[in-house]
Amino acid sequence: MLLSLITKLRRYEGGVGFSAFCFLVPGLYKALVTSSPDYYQGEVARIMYIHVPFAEIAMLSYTTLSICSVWYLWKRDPIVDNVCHAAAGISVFFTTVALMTGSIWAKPTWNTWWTWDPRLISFAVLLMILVGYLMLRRLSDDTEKRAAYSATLAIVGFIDLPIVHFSVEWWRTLHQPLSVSTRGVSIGGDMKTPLILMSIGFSILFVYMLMVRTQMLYLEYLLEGKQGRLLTDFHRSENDG
Amino acid sequence: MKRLYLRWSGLVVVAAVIGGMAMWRVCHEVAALTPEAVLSQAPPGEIRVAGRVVEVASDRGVPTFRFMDERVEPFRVRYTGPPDDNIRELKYLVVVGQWNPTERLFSADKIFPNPNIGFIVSAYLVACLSSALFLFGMEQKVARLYTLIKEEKIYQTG
Repeated sequence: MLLSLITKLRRYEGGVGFSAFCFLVPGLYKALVTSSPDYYQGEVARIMYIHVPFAEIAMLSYTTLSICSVWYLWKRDPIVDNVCHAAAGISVFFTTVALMTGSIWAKPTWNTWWTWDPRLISFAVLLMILVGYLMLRRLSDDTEKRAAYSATLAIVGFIDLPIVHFSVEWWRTLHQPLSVSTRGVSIGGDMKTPLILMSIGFSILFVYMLMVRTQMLYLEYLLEGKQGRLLTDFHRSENDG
Repeated sequence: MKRLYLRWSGLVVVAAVIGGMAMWRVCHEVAALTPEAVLSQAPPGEIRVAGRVVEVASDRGVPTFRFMDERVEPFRVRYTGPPDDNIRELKYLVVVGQWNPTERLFSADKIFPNPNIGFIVSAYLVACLSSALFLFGMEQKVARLYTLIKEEKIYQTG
């Protein structure tokens, strides 16, 4: 079953990667070249086109991790654990970059690199949960125990996601309120197109990254297994000798 | 491996083209002169000048201000465009208009906030370069692992 999954991932990854490229190239072009500057922030508002998709994908990847963790605890399928591990690594990447680009945007708009704002704190907590998840995976050699503990941590950590999302509504914050909510969309038409293109592009890129990383982790596991078996054979021959 | 490097070379070319177009836009539509350059060279036609606003006043309903400086001659601006909230004390602005060398007055009809190009470039470099390196690293590793598995003949012996 593992091999069939890897074959499927290898078959479809090219198409997925190309779809991401088709959205990201016009998105990047519109974001950097044709979209008009913001009335108050000016040109610096262009950081939004990169920061918002990264923050969205950080949350999407954590949601993927949580869903796969529930699935793992239910089915105990090692493939799903492999996908969880891959999603966690990608989530750490997107969360870190979202925090960094947010910090770069904060300096010219809020005149500070960092502030103890509910959105920023809850997002930093998300990064800590993810780092904790990856550390937990390295603590045990028992693959089943390791997968079960880390899946439990991922599910418990999911509580931070609604806090990240609604923090701008629940508390007084420097961060702007939700741009897309039940009250409507508060982004101008000229800015909407590149933001949508970049968001879709990065969402597809996340799927592509997940496919590549799942393959990478599985192949590493396959090689480790092979080397382990060779080592056992070597010791056996040594003892026999 | 060869296909991987070819694909990534293509991506680098596309990224460089978009980067080049963005740079062209910055040079032609965003870059601004300093008040000193305008006072000394008096360039003709529509120009962009950047500076920090001080002494905001109203001359019969028309906002006037000057750019903060330590120079002998002040750089005075008269704004004739539509009402704008951005004209505030100590705000860094880019004004677009024409320099009148006889009156020593800049007539602006458009204003924009400080472009902060350095921050934009930093944010895009952090996001795009790190994404590219992260993805390239993974793809390269997958390609190497497939080669290694082929060489070790895992499926035949396993």
